[in-house]
Amino acid sequence: MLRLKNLTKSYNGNYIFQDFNMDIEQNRITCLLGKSGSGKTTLLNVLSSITDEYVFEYSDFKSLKYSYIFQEPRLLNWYTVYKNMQFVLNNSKTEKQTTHNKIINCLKMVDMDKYADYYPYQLSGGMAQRVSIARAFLKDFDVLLMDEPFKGLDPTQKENIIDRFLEMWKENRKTVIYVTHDLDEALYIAYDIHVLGEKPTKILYTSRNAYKMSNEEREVERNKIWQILKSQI
Amino acid sequence: MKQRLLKTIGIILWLIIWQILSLIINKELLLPSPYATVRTLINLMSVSSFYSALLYSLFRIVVGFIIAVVFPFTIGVLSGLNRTAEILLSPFITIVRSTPVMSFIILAIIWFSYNLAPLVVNLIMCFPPIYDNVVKGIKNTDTKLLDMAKIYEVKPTKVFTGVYLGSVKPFLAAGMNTALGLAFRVAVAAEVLANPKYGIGTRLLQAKYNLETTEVFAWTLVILVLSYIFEYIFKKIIEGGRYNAQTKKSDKII
Repeated sequence: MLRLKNLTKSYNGNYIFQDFNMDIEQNRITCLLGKSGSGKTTLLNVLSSITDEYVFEYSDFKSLKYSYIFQEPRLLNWYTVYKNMQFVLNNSKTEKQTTHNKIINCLKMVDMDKYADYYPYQLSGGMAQRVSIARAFLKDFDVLLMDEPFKGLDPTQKENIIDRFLEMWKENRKTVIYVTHDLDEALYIAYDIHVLGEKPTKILYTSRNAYKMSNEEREVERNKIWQILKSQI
Repeated sequence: MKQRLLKTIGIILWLIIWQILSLIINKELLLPSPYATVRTLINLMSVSSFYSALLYSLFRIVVGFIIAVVFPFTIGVLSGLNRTAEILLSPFITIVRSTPVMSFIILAIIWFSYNLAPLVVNLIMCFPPIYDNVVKGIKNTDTKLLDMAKIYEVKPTKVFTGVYLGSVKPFLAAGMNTALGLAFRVAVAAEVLANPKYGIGTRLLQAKYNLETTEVFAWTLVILVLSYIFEYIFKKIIEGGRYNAQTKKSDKII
């Protein structure tokens, strides 16, 4: 279990988090569900230390290694897909062959190995996002953070990409913290769901083991979370 | 293709206007005809001193330009990354930008040898456009990409070449293009004043003293052609560097 205790962070005098607590089960996909503006992205940035202006009492998250699938692909436009993958690996030249195989394997998993020599601006949004997913799995990590990575993809592609993602995840089942405002997406992917409330952000409700639920149970859970989200407006 | 044709027609049109004007004025001392200019140029080219003047000028232009790329590039990167450095440097940049070229040329002649002065002035004048653009490019670097590199613990040297340089590239190209055009004009102007032993500027001044207007025209033509050739080579090099988002956006595959 990864623990975060009494996180406090303010921005321009407003508290975004005030004595915020959160537990994350390891080797599972945990979803942080909340409306936009509920501090979800900020929380991911705090965990991964992209932002460092915050205080806390206790955190298991400080010394971990992260991969991050952002809302946008965040690829280097002047590098090919292959070089973009290479960019995040700090390997010595002696491991060239292993590195090469690793990159090709990761690209294969998202069906992008044929596009290794393309530049990101030649790809569609969905293809670029697939590269960014491959990049996230290329590096060794303890926790994978995802910030609405499937937002803005067209629905047919979205399902395909999500299933690809789940396949890749099942190979080693690392801890995933996944942010979204899409309840159906959350119920489809997540094991645990933390429902976040308005600022200062707190956890309103935690749904455990959504993946084990029967269809009826899931429907009940869905309505329950839906009511909580609605009461927030 | 159509554009190229129009361009050629444009050039021919202005050559005809030039020819007609020179016929109306009918004084070679005031306005030599295109034909007379080319004839004089061919005459000049048959003498070896033509080539020594050409080579010395080219040397000043090219070396000045190269130093003028390396030097402001390095300082520009520093300023782009460090606000303090930028503020400390800003008076220097403002002075260079607003001081007349002639002041620099005269000062350079006082401080350096006749041969070196044009090169130094060239260097100083090319500084602001390259520096400005490099600073702009560094500042324009996408913080989202920097965050990505931070998450994946990419080495600082790789972040520099991969993220910062990629962002600076198009800006640097624009700066270099401006600087290249400047280099030709500034170096020759400095030669006219400094009057080094060999140089296109020196020959321009001599032609003026001898009231050889055709020769002034011929040398000017040499400068224009050289400048055009260099800009052309530069353009090819930039396009050769495969990445050019503006022109290649069209070949999106999906």
